[in-house]
Amino acid sequence: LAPLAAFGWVMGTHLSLYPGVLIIPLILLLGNGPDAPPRKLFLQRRCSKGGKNPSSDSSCQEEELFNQSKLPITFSWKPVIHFLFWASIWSVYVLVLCGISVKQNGGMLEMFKSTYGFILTVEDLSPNIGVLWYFFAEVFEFFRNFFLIVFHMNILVMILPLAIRLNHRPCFLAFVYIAISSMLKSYPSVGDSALYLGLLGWFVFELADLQFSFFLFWGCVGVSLLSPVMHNLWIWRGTGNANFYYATAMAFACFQIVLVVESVSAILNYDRKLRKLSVTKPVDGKS
Amino acid sequence: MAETEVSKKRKRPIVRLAVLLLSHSVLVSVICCTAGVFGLLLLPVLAKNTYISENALMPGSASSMLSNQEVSEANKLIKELNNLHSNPLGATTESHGIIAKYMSNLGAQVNNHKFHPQLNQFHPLHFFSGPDSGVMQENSTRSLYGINTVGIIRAPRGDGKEAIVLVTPYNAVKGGVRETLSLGIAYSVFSLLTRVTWLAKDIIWLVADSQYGEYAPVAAWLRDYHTPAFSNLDSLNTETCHVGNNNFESKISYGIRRSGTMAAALVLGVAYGNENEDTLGIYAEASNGQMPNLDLINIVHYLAVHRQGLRVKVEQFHWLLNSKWVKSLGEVFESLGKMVKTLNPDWKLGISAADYVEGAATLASSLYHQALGVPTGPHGAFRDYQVDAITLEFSLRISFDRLDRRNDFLLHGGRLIEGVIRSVNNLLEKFHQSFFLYLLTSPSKFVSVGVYMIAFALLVAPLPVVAASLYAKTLDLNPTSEKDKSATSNELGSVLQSWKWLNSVKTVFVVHFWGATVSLLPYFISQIPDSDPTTNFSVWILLSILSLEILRWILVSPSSHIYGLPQGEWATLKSATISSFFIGLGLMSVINFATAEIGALLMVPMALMAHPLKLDVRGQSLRSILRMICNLVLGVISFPPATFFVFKGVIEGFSGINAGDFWNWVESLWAWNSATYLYIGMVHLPCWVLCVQILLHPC
Repeated sequence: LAPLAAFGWVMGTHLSLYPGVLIIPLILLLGNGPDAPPRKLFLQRRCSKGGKNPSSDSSCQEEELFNQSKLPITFSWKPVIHFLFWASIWSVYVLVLCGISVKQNGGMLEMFKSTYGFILTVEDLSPNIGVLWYFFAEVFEFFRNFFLIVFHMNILVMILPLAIRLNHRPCFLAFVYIAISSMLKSYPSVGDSALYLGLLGWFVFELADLQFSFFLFWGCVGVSLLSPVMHNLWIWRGTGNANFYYATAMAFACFQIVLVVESVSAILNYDRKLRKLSVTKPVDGKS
Repeated sequence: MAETEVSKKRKRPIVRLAVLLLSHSVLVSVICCTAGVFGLLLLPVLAKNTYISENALMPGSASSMLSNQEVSEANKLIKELNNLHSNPLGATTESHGIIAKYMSNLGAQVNNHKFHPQLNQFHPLHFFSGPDSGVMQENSTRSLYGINTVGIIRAPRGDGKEAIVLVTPYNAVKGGVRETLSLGIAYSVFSLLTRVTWLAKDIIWLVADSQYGEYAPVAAWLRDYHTPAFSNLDSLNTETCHVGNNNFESKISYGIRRSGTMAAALVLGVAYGNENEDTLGIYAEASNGQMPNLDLINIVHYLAVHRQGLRVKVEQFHWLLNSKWVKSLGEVFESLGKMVKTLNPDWKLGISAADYVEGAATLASSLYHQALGVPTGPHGAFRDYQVDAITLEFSLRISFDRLDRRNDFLLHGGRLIEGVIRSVNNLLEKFHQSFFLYLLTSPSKFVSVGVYMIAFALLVAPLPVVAASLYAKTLDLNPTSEKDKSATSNELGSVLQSWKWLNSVKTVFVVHFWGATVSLLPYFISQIPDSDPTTNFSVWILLSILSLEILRWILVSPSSHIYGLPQGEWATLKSATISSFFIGLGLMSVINFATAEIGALLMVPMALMAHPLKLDVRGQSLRSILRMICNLVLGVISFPPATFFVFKGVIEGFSGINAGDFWNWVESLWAWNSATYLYIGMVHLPCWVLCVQILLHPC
């Protein structure tokens, strides 16, 4: 499993830089084991099996503390190290192959400048469905580097808090990372949105109580139909301007943000509900 | 703790307002719809007088320089063209040779442009692309060709970067005095412009060969003008032609000469009229409801009325002029205006009943022609390249055979054109100051987008409100009964309940997909050789019904067995229908506002009022019976062919209605790449089918 995962991760990062952040959910998955249930709930159930009435809560808490000290043991590092080893092998292999093929075109440095450097420095400002091009068309040269750092930190800053909060659900963490990076990356496309919308089906049970799902759905349909119309109005007819098209891009980003926020809160509500149910019904051995 | 936070949030004023709106959705929709219709009827009262927005134009501030000398030269040209006694084969070449000779005698640069007329083709995807993609198909119409003659005057003091275009469609095969008179006016202006000192832009005079229609030659010339081809076209296109009995060879060289971006274009035409005075008709609508800048119309109107004494008219619906209810509405508004004036003399909202009737007839015609999306003249070809252009049609009282009347007409018409060109000559930038989105209620009164958009917004505002309230009601109906069930089935049941609305969305998507199929069917039906419109129409209807049944059988029926049909399902279907219709209307209002307005007028009441007939029959109250009757009537009228036939019958009488008329009308829409055709097929028709499905819902 680890070599395959390493290969996928290395290829994803090589092709476009952003799947690199998926290393965190990958490590969590491999460390906990792919089929492990969410850890906090597992803990609850183990605890509640012992105590039948609320008066034994104190003994339950003691057991919890005792179990907490045992927590790092259930996270095994061996598959993770295996994964990192294979990841390094694959990345060296890919880089060597690239080095051989780009020798006459300027070498590895040129390749890095044109691929990763291009994504990071946002050289080309053609209109797309993202929110970066319009901004960088207006920014002054003096501040360009500052705003580049701000926009890239926008994604990086969210990695750590999400990892801390959602480390018991690494698959959902991967989903949220993909969603955020597909929205805020420098050259997004509809295919990136299609990727995480497809993954939405993975969490159908957990996201059953997603608020505003009807409104979000119709909003996304409306904006995605309006976007080509505005593009036509701007480029072909000449009666609109870039602001119309950018407004639809911003509306699309808004809907995606609402979707991500609501899905995260839905997952957390689901976890709370499960925890409540498992405390109030200790007899039912839920699996 | 989460619950108290949530309840605290609910007390915010915006959320309270939203909840209030949703709970009174029926009242809100009735008020907004009536306000929207009332706003539309009020538009002729709210029309403002036109004014020249661009200060550089200054129409009529210079005295006209056209004199009888130019008129007599024009008369020479007209006489020579009328005396052509050749067969139709050589008529085109001969007449164009004469015109080219006259042009080059004046010192202008002449070139001939060869084009191949494209016959009516149905390319559904052309709606979404620019004009350049209409590349002609080389293999189909090689044998047919036409020749445009183009003369260019280079401005002595200009830099050659801008041009003003004069277009005169001329059908040499048909001939006749009327055709040559427009050439006469254009020639008189052209000959004057070779001698003036104030010219700053180049003047292009295009004599378009209109044997295959007036629009095709102009569109072909514009396409070749704007797409430079870097090949040796000039050398390849020199041809010799043998003309008729005389057997003389004349070498005609084809090519294209360019000048620069076009500031404005005027298309001239002359018509026989039965008017009481000399009139000038202005046609402004281009494809998909685009209009030229209002300033261009303002200049022509000002010069025609205040300098040349012509009467200007724009198209009107004559059947509205005689209609009784419009007259009574006009009288109501007149009395309202008088009342308002007594309250506050500063408010000038008063309008006389006759003015209202005229304004309403012109407004309806303006709205209808913009909504069709079909250009009303050859000037429409210019709009694709963002050039402002209008068509001017002169019509005189008496026939043109009397020479003094003809000279008078040439003088006045020529002075008008000269005045317009002199004003446009002053421009430093493209037309941008005045409005691009407007409706005309008379040649000198207009309604701008900021005013007519309000009526549309009021009409359309109830749609999201009703959709949200229906969805909220279905949410409230479902979860309470689930709490008592056991744990495992609870999980599955509640998940399925909360994603229940996806069923209705799937139905909506299937019907829209069917709508797209129906829109594409005429492409295949029109390939059937030798079929008359009535059979085409009936074949189309049969194939549509067949495809609907097939799609329903494949895609919708298997899943509906799993979840059953609870009470609230028609509500989610209605909510999804209204949401998709709202999105469709919003999109259409951006592309062609007039289509969206008319579509909203026809469809919004039905969409809002749809209610299953079975429930109404069971209801047995006055309200439900009224609703049932309204639904039935609206359901019949909103079907697009039925709407077409009803209106045709009202306007022209019910006797001469032919089923093929609808096919011809739709064919004209798709032949001109009008987005209205896509709107009818992909928004109006699916919404109608879904509403009918709600009406016939078994519950």
